[in-house]
This record gives sequence, structure tokens and C-alpha cells, in this order.
Amino acid sequence: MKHRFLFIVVVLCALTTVAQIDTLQVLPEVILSDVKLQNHSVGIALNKISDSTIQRSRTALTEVLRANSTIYFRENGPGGVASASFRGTNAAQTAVVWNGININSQLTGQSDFNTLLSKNYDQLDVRAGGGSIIYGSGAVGGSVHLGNDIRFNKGLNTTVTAGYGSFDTQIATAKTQFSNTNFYIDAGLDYQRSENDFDYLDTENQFNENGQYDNLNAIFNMGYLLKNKGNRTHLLKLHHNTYVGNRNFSGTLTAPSNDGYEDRNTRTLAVWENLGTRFNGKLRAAHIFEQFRYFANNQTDDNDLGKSIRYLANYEATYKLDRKKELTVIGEVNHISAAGASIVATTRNQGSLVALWKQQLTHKFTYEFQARQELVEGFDSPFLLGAGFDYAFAKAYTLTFNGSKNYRIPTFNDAYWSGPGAVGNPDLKPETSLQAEIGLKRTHKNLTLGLRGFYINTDDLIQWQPNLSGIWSPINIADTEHYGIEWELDYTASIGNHKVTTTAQYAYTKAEDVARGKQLIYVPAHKAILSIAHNYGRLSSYVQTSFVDRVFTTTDNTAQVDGYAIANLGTSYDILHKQGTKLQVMARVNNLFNTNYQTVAFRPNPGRNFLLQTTITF
Amino acid sequence: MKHSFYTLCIAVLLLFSCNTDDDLFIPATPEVEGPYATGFLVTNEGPFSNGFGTVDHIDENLTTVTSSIYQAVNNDNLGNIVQSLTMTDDTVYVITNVSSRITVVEKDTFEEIIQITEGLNNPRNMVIIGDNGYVTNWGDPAIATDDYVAVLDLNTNEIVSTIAVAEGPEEIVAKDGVIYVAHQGGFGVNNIVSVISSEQENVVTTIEVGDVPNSLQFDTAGRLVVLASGAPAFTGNETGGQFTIIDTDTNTAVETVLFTNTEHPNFLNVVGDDVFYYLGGAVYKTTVADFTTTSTAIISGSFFYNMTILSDGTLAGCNAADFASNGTVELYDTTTGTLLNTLNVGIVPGNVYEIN
Repeated sequence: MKHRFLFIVVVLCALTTVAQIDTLQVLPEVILSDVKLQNHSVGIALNKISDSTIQRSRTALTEVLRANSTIYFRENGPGGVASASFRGTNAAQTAVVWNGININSQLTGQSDFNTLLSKNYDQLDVRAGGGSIIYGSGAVGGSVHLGNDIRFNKGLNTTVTAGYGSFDTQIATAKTQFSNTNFYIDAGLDYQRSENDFDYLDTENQFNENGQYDNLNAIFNMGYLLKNKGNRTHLLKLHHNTYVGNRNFSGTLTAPSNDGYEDRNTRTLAVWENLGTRFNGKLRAAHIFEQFRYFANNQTDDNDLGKSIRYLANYEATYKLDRKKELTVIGEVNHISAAGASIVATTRNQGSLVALWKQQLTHKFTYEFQARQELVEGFDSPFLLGAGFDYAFAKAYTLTFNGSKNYRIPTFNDAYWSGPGAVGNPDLKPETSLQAEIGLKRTHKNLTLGLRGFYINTDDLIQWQPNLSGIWSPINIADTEHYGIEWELDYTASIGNHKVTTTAQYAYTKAEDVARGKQLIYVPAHKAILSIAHNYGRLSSYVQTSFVDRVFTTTDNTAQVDGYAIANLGTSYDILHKQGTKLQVMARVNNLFNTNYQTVAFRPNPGRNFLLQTTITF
Repeated sequence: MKHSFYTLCIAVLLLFSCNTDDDLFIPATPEVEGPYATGFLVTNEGPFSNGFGTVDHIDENLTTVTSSIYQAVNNDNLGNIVQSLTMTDDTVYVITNVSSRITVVEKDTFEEIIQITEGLNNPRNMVIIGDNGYVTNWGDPAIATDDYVAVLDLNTNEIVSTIAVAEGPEEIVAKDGVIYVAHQGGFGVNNIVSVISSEQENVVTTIEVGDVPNSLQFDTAGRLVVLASGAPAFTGNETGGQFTIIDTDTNTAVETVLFTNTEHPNFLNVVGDDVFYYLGGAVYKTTVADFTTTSTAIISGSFFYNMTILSDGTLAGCNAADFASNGTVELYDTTTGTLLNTLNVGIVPGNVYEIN
């Protein structure tokens, strides 16, 4: 059995060697749920958020990524609706990918990053740049990837975390996993609740009213080695995720609120992997359910419901012509139905065909071509092409390039909305974008430096506007142009038993509406983050700082939310640290300098606040 | 939850009124007309769900705009979604919808007198009879049975009573102590005009008109002219607009003119014998006596969120542009249909009021 397992490892290693010139961390004993991410991001920057970074923050993905990436989050206060702006693109142009599947809402086209809890995933990656060819609609500015791994031969282990923080915030996380030579299983719960009633700084009596939330994310993953003989391996995998969120939407400085909102999302994915030395086949079937209930008055039971159910089947075939050439073909069909109080019950069938050709020309130069054609009922979907290369032109230096066409299809809301004062438009065209980026990366020993320039040109952006009868309706109206620079540094220094890790990122983003010549709303020209972590034996400490430039809140750039700089500080100590057993306590101060800041106009964020956590691993 | 919000409002109110009290007790200076004694006022709703609305001032010659006069004078904001304003000889009442607030200011200076929040729930429009203001309130938009007209005592600036009415009361006018309320229907559809006795403080009768009555005015003969836009397509039961004349002696409809099923007219203006209305980006002019839906447009290609014919005959059209940036007031000559001037105002301009 051991040998068979080793065999998989070898296959996977070979795969990654073929694929990689980038020095991305891929643990060989780990079976990733989405090999595409590492394998088909030629010329694209991937940024892995480490597990220790995730553990430091409260669980909402908004909080993790805001402090650890240059993505700008338009967050309606803690726990409220939070959408991402990647390279100045809008909320529906950032894809969230769960175990290889784009899970942006079929209704809104967006992901609410406060309904995505970060604990209990094994992989959290940020992929900057166009990814529509492999990840579908909406992967324009970039994508955020959540992955669950399968690992054999790890025995039984369990991690439990309990935490308490300001504003009566309670956290509980547990995950247990078991594996032997051919079987893997894990189950995890991630729960948080908060009164979230923080005082608004610089006001006398105002506080975050009606902001309570509680949410629970449950995961379940299984892997079974069906057959592992000769040069062929068959593996079955199952990934499941259930999210239950209940929250009220807080008011603003100028408007009260008594809204309530419930999210119920489930995702289930079954995979059969057929792996060999030259040919890999992966068959996937998935069921993805999303449902919300909106309560205009949370004191009553009256609510508006919206839901979608999506069935997906996908086959991915990779043929390795030799160690340096591989062709991947992916065929996918989706059947989606949506219904709700304000949406005409309807279904949509879509199919897509993707071809990826990748070749390592020399040991220094790898290139890839990608193509996608999608057929969507009722819409003309564009033919997408992309190309990229990685060129290690000198020791430690890599030059990267990627250019692609990307798209976003109109959502169910865009096409079929029918509610008070608004009506969808079934005649919309998909949004399209042409984009390119060029980068330079230096990886040497304990120092990584990256510099990238990007350009995005989007056409036919869908925007909701009142028509001549005063009814709001979406049209393909705006064209936008984005360009900018991203810079990053990772540096690790060890002196004796002291280890210092530094991460710095900076993004300059110019994103303009072509007709107006004005910066798009809620896109900061500058965002920078700096984290320094220090470890000495059982003691770790860190400081996270971020600087965000002002953002405009009106399309004519006459009103703005001021820029801000905030710092978080934390420390952890391993009270117990033995083979297989660990007891750790953590303390964290958010917004150390009690800065009064907003990410959305008139929605203040909390001042200085605290979080205590204890984690037991056994 | 609501209660704590009101407590908060009152707390805020007390806090802010402390500042204004200082101004109020400054010894009376000789009567000097303030900067806003003449000209026009523009209500700007402001961005939806966050931020605040504003009131701009336009001078008598309709050339110069002074932005956000309430903020400039009082160093405070009017709250979320400035819906409408109503004025007496010396006072202006600015109604803020989402903030459920009436801000009372001196007419010529725009100095705040008081903010009223108690007794209001989604206030929309006000009409004044004697010492009382009558304010339409949606209540909770999701509840059809909690709508009311609040009675505001203009001497004490307190809501003294309420009159329960049907769903979605919007525009409100009065004549000879009788109040007429158009029930647009809130987020839904309604089709009645309520007739209220201000003395009895009760609904005397309701008169059926077209679906979604959006505007009502009196003609020269004192009859009530009502324009309904009809139910929009998304309701699943689309109906066309309807023009109705109501005899206020008998409270019955004496004339009805129907638009076609897909025509949804808006913004009725009765000027002498003439009637102006807006439909599908165009302004039409016809007469009260011989109302026709087939007249030729006098202005077309416009994009109005509201329009008002000023006393000199100029049409002031509010253009809210993309609803996410500053809007404009477009001034047209209604005889020739030519654009006279475009004035830059605040975000989502909702109406233009003549200071008189």
C-alpha cells in the first residue's frame, strides 16, 4: 500500500514539475482539490495565504484578505455585505472558486465575502488577473480560491479553537480528520456570532445598531483510493460545504435599519480521478444551492426569498505528450434554476468547452495557450483566448506575461428580475474584457520580490439605471479602462532561534469610466499592506498594517471616503507543545490606534477592539 | 428594535439641539432678510441607503446655485433621503424619509429651529392648513395597514395626532379645510384618493382613480385633477395611465381619460387652463377642459426625475443623471421647447420649489 501511495506522490510531483517553474509551495503528499490553479496560471501571480495568517484573524474572509492582500473590500460594516474590488473591477468581476468550482451567486454574480468563512480550508489562494477561461464568468479582476485537500496516512488528529472578542463576539472552530493508507475523512465546524454593537467613534451616542450576526460553516471531505495498481490510480473524492448565516443589516450614520437577512448555501462535489503517467481523467459532479431571505423588518416574518439550484457535470482530460508537453480538454455542462419573490422562475442551461495547451520549451521557458467557448441559453457568449509565459531569464529571475479575454454573463437578477420599481433585461450582452499583464519576479533564498503591471479594458459593463418610465433596469452601458502596478516582497530572516517574516504589498490602480474620464467609485488609487511576524520558540508576535487611499463615492468624483491607515497587533504562545499535542493561546488587538475609518460611506468601522483565542490540537 | 432607534434619534436630537439653542437665544437683531428670502429651493434626495440629502438654493434669476445650504448654515445634515419640503411665510419644513425626520428651519436664513422625529415613520409630503401640518407617512413599507397622516402642530412642533389611511399615501393637497391624499401605493400599487376632514381628523371618503396616482392639483375651477401612471409591467398586471378630474363638492370623478396600456405618464402640472405631463422622456401639453393623450411633445429626449412649471412659465426638470453623482436642473421655455439653462445641483434632485 505504501508503494501505491508513493506512486501517486510521484505522479503528482511529476505533474507539478512539468507545470511549475514558479516556486509555489506544493506539498507533495497533499492531493489538491484544484490542480488547475497551480498548473494553469502561467504568467499569472498566485499568492497563497498561509494557515497561520488565517488563524490570526476572525474567520470572515473579508477580514483575512483585507489585511493580507491588496484587494479592496467594500464592506457594509463588519458582518454586513462585503464585496471585493480586484484591480479596480466591480463586485461581480471577482470570482470565488471553491475546490475548483466558481461559486459566485447565480442571482447577483457576486460573492459576499462575509458569508465565506476562512477556517477549515486547507488552501486559500489569491489569483490576480483574468481567469474566465478556466474559471468561467466573472473571473476578470482576479479570483479567490478555497480548497480542501485529501491526505492519506496521517492518522487521527483534531483541532479545536474557542475565542472571545469585543462586542460580545464568540468564536468556535473544530476540525477532525482521519486517514489511513487508502481512506481519508474530515469534518469541520466554524461558528461565530457577535452583537457587533460597537460605538461609532467621534459621535456621542451613535453605535452600530441592528448589526448582530451569527453564522456557521460546516465542511465534510472524503477521499478513497479505489485502485492503485501498476501505472494507474483511481481515486474517489467528496467535498461538502454548508453555510447557515443569520444577520441583521446595520444602519448607517444617517439612516436607521431594521433589515434582517438569512443565507443558506450548500455545495457538494463528487470527483472520480483516474490518474496515470500519460493520461489523467477527472469526472466531477456537483450540486450547488444558494438561498437568501430578506426581511425588510426583522421584527416580522415577512420576507423576500431568492434561490438558485445548480447541477454541474465536468470532465477534465489531461494528456501528456511527453514530460514537457500537455494538452488539457475540459467539457462542462450546467443546469441552473432560479426562483424567488422578485425573480421570474426560470432555468438556464449552459455548456462549455475548454482547451489548454502547455509546453515547457526549455528549462527556462514555459508557455501556455488557453481557449474557451461557452454556449449559454439566451446569450451569445464570446470566444475566449488567452496566452501566457514564464521565462526564467536569469538566475532567480522570472519574466511573466499573460494576456486573455474574459467575460461575465448577465446574472439571473440582471436578466429576469421583476420586483418593485425594477425589471430585468433579457436582451443584455455579456460583459467582456481584454487584459494583459507583465511581471518580473525575483526568488532567491529567503527573499521574494514581485513587480507587475496590468491593463484591463472592459466593454458593455452592465449597470442598473432607471429607464424613461422610472423603472430601474440593467443595460450594457459603460466601458472602463484599468491599469496599474503591483509590487510585493516576502522576506524571511533567521537569527539564532529568532525568525522574522516580512510581507509587504503595494498596488496602484487607475480605473476609469471611459466616457466620463473619472476614477470608478470605491477604487482606491493606492493600497499597501505590511506584516511583520516574529517567532521565538513557543512565542510568536506580529503586526499587520494597511494603508488605503481615499475612494470616491460618486461617479463624478465629487464625494469621497477618506483614506486611512490601521494596524493590528497580536501574539500567541504555545503553553503545551509536544509531539502531536499543542495548546496555544492567542491575543489580538484590532485597529490599535483607534482609527475612525470607513470602507463604505457613512458606515463606520469599529475602533480598537480585542480578540482572545485558545487552540488545542491533538 | 424600533424603540431603541427612536431613543437614539431623541438622544441625537438633544445633542444637536444644544448647539442650535445657543443660536436661538442670541438677542433678537433688527429684522434683516436672510439670503434665502427669495428665489428657489431644490431638494436633493441624496444617495440611497447611505449619506444624506441636501437643499440647494437658486437665485431669483435662475442662474446661481448655492449648494447644501442647510449644512453650510447649521454644520449638520438633513438625514437620509430628503423627500420634500413645505413652507409657510417664515418657516421651511424639510421632510427626510428614511431618517423619519422633519427639519424645521427659518425660511430666510435656513437656521435650524428644531428637528422632529417623534411620531413620524417614513414621512413623505406635507400640506399646511392654519396652524397644522398634515404629513403622509408610509409606516413600514412592508405593512399595508400602518400608513397614516400625522398632524403636526406648527406652534409646538409636535405630532399631536394621527389619521389612519390606506396603503401608500404620497402627495397631499388641501382646499377649504379638506385634505386630499393620493395613494400611490408605496412599493406596491394603490388606486385611490382619500378625502380627509381636517376638523374631524378622519377619512370622509375614498375616490377610485387610476393605478398609482402620482400627482394631484386643483384646476382654476377648484376641481381636483389627478394623474395616475398605471401599474408597471413588473406587477404582472400592467395598466395604463389615467387622467381624472374630481368634483370636490360631490367627491366623484367627473371626467376620466385613459392612456394606452403601456403608457405611464407622470408629473402633472396644472397651469391655468393648461396641463403639462411627462411620458417616456417627453413633455406634453394639453388642456384641462379637453385633455388629450395624443398631443405633440413640446420637449423630447429629456430624462426627468421630476418636473415643475414655475410661475413665470419656465419648466424646471430635475435630471438625476446616473443617480450616483450630482444632478442638474434643466430650465426650458415651454412655448418654444428650448433649453434655457442647466444648473448643477446635488445628488438625485427631487423637486424645485418657488420661495414665496
